[in-house]
Amino acid sequence: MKILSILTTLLLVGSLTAQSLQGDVLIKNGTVITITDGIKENTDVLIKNGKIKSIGEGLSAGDQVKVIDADGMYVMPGIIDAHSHAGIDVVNEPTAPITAEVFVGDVINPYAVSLYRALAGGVTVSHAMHGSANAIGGQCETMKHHFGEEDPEAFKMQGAPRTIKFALGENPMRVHGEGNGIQPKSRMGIEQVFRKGFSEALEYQKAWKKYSSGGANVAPAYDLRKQALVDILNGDIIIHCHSYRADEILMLMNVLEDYGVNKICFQHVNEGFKVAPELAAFGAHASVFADWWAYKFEVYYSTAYNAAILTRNNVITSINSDSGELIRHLYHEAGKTQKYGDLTDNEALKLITLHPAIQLGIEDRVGSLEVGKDGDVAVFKNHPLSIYAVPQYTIVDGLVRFDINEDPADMRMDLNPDETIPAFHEIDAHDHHRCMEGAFESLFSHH
Amino acid sequence: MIKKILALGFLICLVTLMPAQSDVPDVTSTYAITNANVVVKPGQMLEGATIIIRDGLIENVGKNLQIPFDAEVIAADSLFVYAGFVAALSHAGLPKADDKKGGNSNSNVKKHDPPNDVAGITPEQSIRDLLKPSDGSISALRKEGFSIAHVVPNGRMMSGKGSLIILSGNTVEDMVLAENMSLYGSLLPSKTRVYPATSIAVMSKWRELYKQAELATDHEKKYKSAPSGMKRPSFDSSIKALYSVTNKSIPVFFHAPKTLDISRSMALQNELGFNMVLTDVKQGFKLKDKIKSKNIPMVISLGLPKKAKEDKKKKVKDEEADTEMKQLMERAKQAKLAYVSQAALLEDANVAFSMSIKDVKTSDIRANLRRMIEAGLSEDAALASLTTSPAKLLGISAMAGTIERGKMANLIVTDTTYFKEKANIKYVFVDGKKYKQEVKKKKDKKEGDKDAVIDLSGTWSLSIDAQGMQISGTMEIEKTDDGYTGTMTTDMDDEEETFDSIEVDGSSVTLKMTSDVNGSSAPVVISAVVEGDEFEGSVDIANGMMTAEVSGSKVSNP
Amino acid sequence: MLRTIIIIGLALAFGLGSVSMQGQRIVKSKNGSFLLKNGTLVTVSNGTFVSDLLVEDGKIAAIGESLAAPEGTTVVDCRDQFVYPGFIDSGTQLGLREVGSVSLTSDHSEIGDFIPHMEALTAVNPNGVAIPVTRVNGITSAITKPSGGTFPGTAALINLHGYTPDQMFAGYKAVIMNFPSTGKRGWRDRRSEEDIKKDAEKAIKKLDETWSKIKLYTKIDSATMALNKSRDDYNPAMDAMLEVARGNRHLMVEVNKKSDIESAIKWITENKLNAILTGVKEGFRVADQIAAAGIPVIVGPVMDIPARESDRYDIAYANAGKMQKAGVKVALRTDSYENVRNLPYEAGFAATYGMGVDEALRAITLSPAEMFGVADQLGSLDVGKHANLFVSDGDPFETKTDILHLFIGGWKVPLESRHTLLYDEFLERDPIGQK
Repeated sequence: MKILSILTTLLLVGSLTAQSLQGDVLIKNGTVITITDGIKENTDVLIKNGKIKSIGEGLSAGDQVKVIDADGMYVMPGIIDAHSHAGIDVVNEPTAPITAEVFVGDVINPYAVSLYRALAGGVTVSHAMHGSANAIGGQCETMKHHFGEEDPEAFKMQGAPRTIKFALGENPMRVHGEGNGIQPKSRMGIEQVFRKGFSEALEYQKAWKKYSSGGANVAPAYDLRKQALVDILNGDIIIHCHSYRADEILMLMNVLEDYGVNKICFQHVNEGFKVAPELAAFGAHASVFADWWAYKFEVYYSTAYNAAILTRNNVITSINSDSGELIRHLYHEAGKTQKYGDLTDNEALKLITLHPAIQLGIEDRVGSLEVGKDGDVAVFKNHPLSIYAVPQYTIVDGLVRFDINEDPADMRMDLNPDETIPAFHEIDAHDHHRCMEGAFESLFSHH
Repeated sequence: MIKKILALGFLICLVTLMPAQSDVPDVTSTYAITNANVVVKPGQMLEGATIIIRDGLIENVGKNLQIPFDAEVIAADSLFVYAGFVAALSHAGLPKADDKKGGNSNSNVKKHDPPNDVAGITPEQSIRDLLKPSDGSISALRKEGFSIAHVVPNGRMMSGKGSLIILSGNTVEDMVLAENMSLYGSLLPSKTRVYPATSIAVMSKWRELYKQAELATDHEKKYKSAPSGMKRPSFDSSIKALYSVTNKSIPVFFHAPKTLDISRSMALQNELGFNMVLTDVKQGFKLKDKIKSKNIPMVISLGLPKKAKEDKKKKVKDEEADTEMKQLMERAKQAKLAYVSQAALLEDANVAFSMSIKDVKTSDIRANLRRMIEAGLSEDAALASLTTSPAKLLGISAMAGTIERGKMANLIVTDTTYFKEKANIKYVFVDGKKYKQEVKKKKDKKEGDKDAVIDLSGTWSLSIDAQGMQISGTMEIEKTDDGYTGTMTTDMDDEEETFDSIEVDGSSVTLKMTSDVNGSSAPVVISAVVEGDEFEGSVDIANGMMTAEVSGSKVSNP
Repeated sequence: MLRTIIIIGLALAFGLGSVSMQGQRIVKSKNGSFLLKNGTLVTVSNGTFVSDLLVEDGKIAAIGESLAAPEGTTVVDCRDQFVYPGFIDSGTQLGLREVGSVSLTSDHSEIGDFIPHMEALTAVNPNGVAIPVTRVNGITSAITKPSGGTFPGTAALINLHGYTPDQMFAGYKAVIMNFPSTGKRGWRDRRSEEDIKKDAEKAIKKLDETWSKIKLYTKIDSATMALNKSRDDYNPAMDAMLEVARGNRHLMVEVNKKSDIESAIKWITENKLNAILTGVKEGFRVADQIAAAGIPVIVGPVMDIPARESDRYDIAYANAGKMQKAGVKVALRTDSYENVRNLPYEAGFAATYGMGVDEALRAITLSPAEMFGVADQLGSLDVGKHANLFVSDGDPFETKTDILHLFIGGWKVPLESRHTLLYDEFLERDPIGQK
């Protein structure tokens, strides 16, 4: 019975911590990189009830508040990844060219160790996306990295706008055209998938309006997929579109213009640099890799200077991971824009803080250190853009979710009862991204 | 030979499992079980009591009852009587793995728009159309003491409706106690990677179908009252089959083994509002407070993780393991234990639960119950999870679950308390029908001696006891450079069959052969211990389909 | 912008051959003598100091203060700048793969399980677009290797400059071997633990059979030579193993899991092979054993996720340093084809997570040069070595740092690639804003 009581105690502890997701913490004497208000030396940041209460010198809090001594360290906003697949159990529903009704927020996995590893890289918020198998994929989830909680709801960033994944080019062409013999098999077909989908959604909306205003005695056939498309057309969902080539980027902007949609962030967008002025004119955003290229034909004519060119053309740009590996060092990925395009420190850091926040529609909550914003903070030894940077603490809503000094190796929360020693995975270094996971059983493909 | 043993074996099985009087007319349907320890309900026992059974019902229970003149008396001195078990969820009586529905990859099926049955959406399926009364799984369950099972169809997202089945009878009509009283649902995607190929699409599909069913109900109602000028309602059988769910007249038994399945199905339930029973739960210990606060009934799985194997070689290695390794192994041990302790933890938290036997081999049921009890579950709570709790959950408390006057005569008679390892079931009554069970005298299984050195080569004479049938035979074993080879012949058919492999470990020997049974090959494994010239052990045919005891002695050395 | 200024500056200052073709500027490499004045020389072999360095006839001709510039020498002012030996990536598919998902542009993998005679050098495309992309970060040499089955072929060390594979060849080859693994292949691998073990046992049995044949073949070959006879059988796969079996050529053994590393060490020791372990993800768990066996390792990628769910998040970052501290000779690799340019950052992460800057630098310069037996030519700034070096405006591990000049074999190679050209063309696109 002793074992039973130990187990009970353990479980109790787990459920107690689940009660409040807003903490207090005082970070003392750091070099505070605010992003929106310069750099403040020897400055404190006080977080109360999960929100930044004050930023200044010589702050104090009650005895109960945890204090982090950040003397000689850098304090920056929690890093935000606008493109991730960590912490969700399903990435692709690859069966139809449009699957706007599915929602990866339905399958959040609080036990995914990848979320802890992201925290260990200073990342507090990630955009968990559906994959790129379909022209219109599923709806995505903006997640707060409350690793340690068991309730999937704890990870949903309450109040964040809805987002949805679109995809252009090779992936949907391969899955549906080559794979299943249905449209789209080309970039021509992809355009028509959008136009058909949006047009049917408009008809659907019309039919429902007619019914609810009493103009019809029977409700139209309920269709969750069309309803999601209606929500896009009404501007209730931000589009995040997997894209590479300049022509397809222009195509989608043309389609959206025709249907009056303007909330879009292009993802990957390797050839965004070619159409940077058009992106800027449309008000479209870009979320790019620092230096990924050549893994498929549509990224062969790429340049690592993409982020710099987009930035110089006033396109709101972010750097994302799309990978369980890269998400652990987005600060380093952002640093590469200083190699490729000489961005300033603040410009480079914006790519992983304020800009992804804007792209996700959460810039009033996160992305910079300002009084009133969420207490999401990353503390580094050495400047975060330096190769010698080491994340020390990662704080989400005032709760310390990563502390390098209290970091047991084994962070698993849900063990397979039939496994003794966790399996060793011979992973190809370039096999970490999950954009096409589930799209093919045997064939592996990049992004 | 094996072919014949199997054929005969089946016959024997059938005979022992059928009511004893099947080929002789019944004489009476009145029984008196006298002077027994009657466990009326969990925690309440009447010693030296008598139970009178008449026409399928319990006529009376108590002390000093008059024995009816027409009763067959079962003197149950020192025996224990329990209420027949109720399985809260089972696939008993259904053909194995339902691969045809949603299983065949038909090239005409459009991946993005498959027919409902291929997609795993068959809420219209009813047990009435699927149950096979003669299926061996029914009698096997009865042998373990079950008299009623809530049987649900095999399948994926919405496999169909569940019915309450009495585990005795020759026709479906005999056996149904309540029909289409639940929907069995899950978040399982289609089998053939058609839409919904993933759990996210399954969640969406639930939402869509649910809303469609609500709208269709409304449409039908309107049409009934004023059809003129209105489009007629469709007759989509899947949608129609969901009306009873959306109007909450039946619950959804939701397959939710893991914590995440529980969270997700509870989220769906919260959104749509159907009545739900969490089913096949294996990790309920993690979310027990949440489940309790939402008042959602639970059916936990009797399936448990495999017992950790005691491996001597591994043990030595374990001792050499470093701290990190030791920690990992300790965590693994605790993880396994958490699953086995689920029932105990729920009892501790005052959460009522019943048992699903869907994920457990019938032959493991009692062993797994014992593992749960070893992990802290009380015997009363274990009994409740098999009797009163499922009866209440399934709405049959008035007719089953306890030994009380007026209830169905579903009883288990054992020679000691049910949960003891050596307990034997002597009688099972289902619906007033008596099933006598021969208690096999279990020989203490001999343990082999790892360090012994034996010589298997030579000619052995064998005698096999296949469930009462005596077979004799001979084995010729030859020693080779790598080990042994050999053959066996029995008096069943005098055909010589060759062993595929003969393994010797100390004094334990394992002899394997593949025998042809009705055109398909079945593995036959003889495991025995050899001491000098004596040979004793068991024969396993077709992975446990049948077992026999074997003993023998060496008649000549090579 | 900086890029353009540098390139134009280079062209003006050193009169690099510059050809105009359809409006596009082609900058060619230039051979000659160069005097790098007053740079801070990070020699790797002999410390760091301010000095001049003379490049002549493809070699480092002199190092010293106030060196005189021979006639025709281009003088490069390196004041406040740093001179480093060119970096060596000890495991790539550079030149063998062009577009990852387009199989017909990939030459790194051939059909067959025992094909050590497949020569990576044969298939190196000197004009692969990734080669100049790689150079701009100071990488001047790389092992390029085949991949696939147990013996997928022979790797070669190449310099990242040359018009033909032979010009690029840097004098070292090794046979690649993938040691049978008892790990999972990735998230798509659904084999049970037992099945994996069985597969590995089968593979090891096959490996032992193969090896006994190799030994026999070598014996017969030696006997044939001793009798001054010639063999007329054609057995290229076996021929490719002769030098390995005789211990004259390295076998690069890819192995990652702890127990597999232990098996590999045992197997290598029993067969008395001259081997290098590559990958070695769980090397930190058996670092002492590797050190005791005296087998060098090539580790990477450093930026990798842990191989087990239970491993600490930074274990891959720290692996190289842990082995080096245990006394193992360590070189680093990216194991990439398109982003070999990240080698200095891989080294930077290893440095940060325990290896230290000096040892991490050594692991991409002198250590691999020593490992590959080319330390007389590559790996440090020493007189007489090949002039594989670069000049930077700071610590090359830092992403802020720019590489200013790069020399391979004495050729001054322009720091231009598809990536810089696209930058130059599109930064200020013309016409702007027209649809």
